Amino acid sequence: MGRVLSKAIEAAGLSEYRARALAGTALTQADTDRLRSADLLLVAGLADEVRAQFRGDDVRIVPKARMREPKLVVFEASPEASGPTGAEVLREIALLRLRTPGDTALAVSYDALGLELAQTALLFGADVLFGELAGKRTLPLLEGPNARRREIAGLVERSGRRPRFADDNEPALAEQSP
Amino acid sequence: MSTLRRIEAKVEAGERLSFDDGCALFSEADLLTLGRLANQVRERRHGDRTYFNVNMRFEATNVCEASCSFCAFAKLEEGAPLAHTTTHEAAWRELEAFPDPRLTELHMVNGLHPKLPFEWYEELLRGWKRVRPSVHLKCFTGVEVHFFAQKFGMTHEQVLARLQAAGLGSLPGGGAEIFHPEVRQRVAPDKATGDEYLAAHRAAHKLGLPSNCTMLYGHIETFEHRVDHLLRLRALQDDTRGFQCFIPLAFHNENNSLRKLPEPTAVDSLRTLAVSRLLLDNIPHIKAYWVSMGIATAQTALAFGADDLDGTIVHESIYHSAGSRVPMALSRDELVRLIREAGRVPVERDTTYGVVEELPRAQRLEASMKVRERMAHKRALSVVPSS
Repeated sequence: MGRVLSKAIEAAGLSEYRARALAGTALTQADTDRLRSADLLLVAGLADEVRAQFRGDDVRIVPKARMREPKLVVFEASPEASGPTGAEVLREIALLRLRTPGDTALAVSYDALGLELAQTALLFGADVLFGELAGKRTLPLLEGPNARRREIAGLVERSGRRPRFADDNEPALAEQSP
Repeated sequence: MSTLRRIEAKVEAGERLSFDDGCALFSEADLLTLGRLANQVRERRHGDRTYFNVNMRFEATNVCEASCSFCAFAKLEEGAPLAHTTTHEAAWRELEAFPDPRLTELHMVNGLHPKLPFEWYEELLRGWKRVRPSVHLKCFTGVEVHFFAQKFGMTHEQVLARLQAAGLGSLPGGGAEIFHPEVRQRVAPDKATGDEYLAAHRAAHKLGLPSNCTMLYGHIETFEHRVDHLLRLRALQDDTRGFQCFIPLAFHNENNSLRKLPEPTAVDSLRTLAVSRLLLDNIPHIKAYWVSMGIATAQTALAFGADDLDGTIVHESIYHSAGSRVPMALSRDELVRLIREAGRVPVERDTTYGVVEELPRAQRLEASMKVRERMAHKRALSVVPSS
């Protein structure tokens, strides 16, 4: 974490949460309730630091069928007209990261969130993306799953992370720690 | 001291950033740190206040003699498929019939029509002022102003003075694209150059017409081109103080000749907006234009340096022609909700940032309880426990 965020977290009185989360202790529901009123970027900074320490920079892109694996939490909210807005969804993703043990992967669906919000979620603690590869929105002139794979890989790379498409015979997600 | 530490120190001290600083922010800074820095500047200027307005978009004609490679809106001539030019009566009727009495702004951008006489535009404005005199007319980009000057043998000042006399209140920021000739000659070779766009805005500011400014990012330009563009805007603003707002515009790739290029992602948009806030130290407002960025990213951008979400829009053709999938309109209530749920204070403004109404912020506890209730109700959060 950069100096600016670190100082801001300290100034906001969130150092204790940071220390506990980085020690590998999942925060409690009461802790994250308090963090609901904290600055969005500070919550993101905490979650991203925990993600970097325990999960590394790889982003696994996996089929939906693997979402029942152990040591995996799945966030499935989506912004809708009457539902949570994008910023709320991102905050909840970050809080879920902080409530989750470090050895557990955090997955978000790019089908449910949309590609833009799913990409942004990678800054808020997510380390697994899942969804259908044959989506409606693909790169022009390159229809089909391969185009979708490239598009998603590009999203991950442009967020500063490494895309890894998980095949069915790969080990469980939780075993792929950094 | 590292480059980023030096930049952080400059931002904290309120010092101006350089070209090299801007390039380093684009290429080296981690996005959350960048967002935090931009947010500091935003909160120093505006606190939690976040602006929006009740506006409507209008495009009088999409017939355009320019052939910009990123554009999906323009049609080269009348009679081409989907080409349209409104009549005065239809345009006036649309404003007169606009149902929301809170409407404060009409925003118009057009193609560069080869045949419409200058008087046609003057009469269009006069008619709007007749049917709804209180509505501010924010019309004609710097590119259009330059086109009129060339076509009708006038200076920028003469064009603008006549339009001002007909009711023009300010200029929108469109048409800036990327100023650097290396890029502009490839994507917008046959319309106003960067210098000509800036000259048109300079003339507007001289006449007391405020304006906005933009940058179309995410196509063939480099980070250096973006920084160059931003610093040219900053230099003009040092002279005139006439820009109210900067709006970064994300390239969209459908139905245009750059369709093989990927579009900028949400992360690109947040980074560009944050760097813009940091470099443009003399432009008061940075807008997260929801039509361009998408609603969720625009709302998120309120934590990355943006202090304005634009307005209700109602009907937008330029981005929707190029593949934007956002709705054509957001209601005032939706804009208020987006701002509140980003933890900010909604301020309804008029075009020149006069306050129409400042609304109370969301009660934090109440808001977070609502979030949890909604999520529980929707069974939105599904946790698969460890085995």
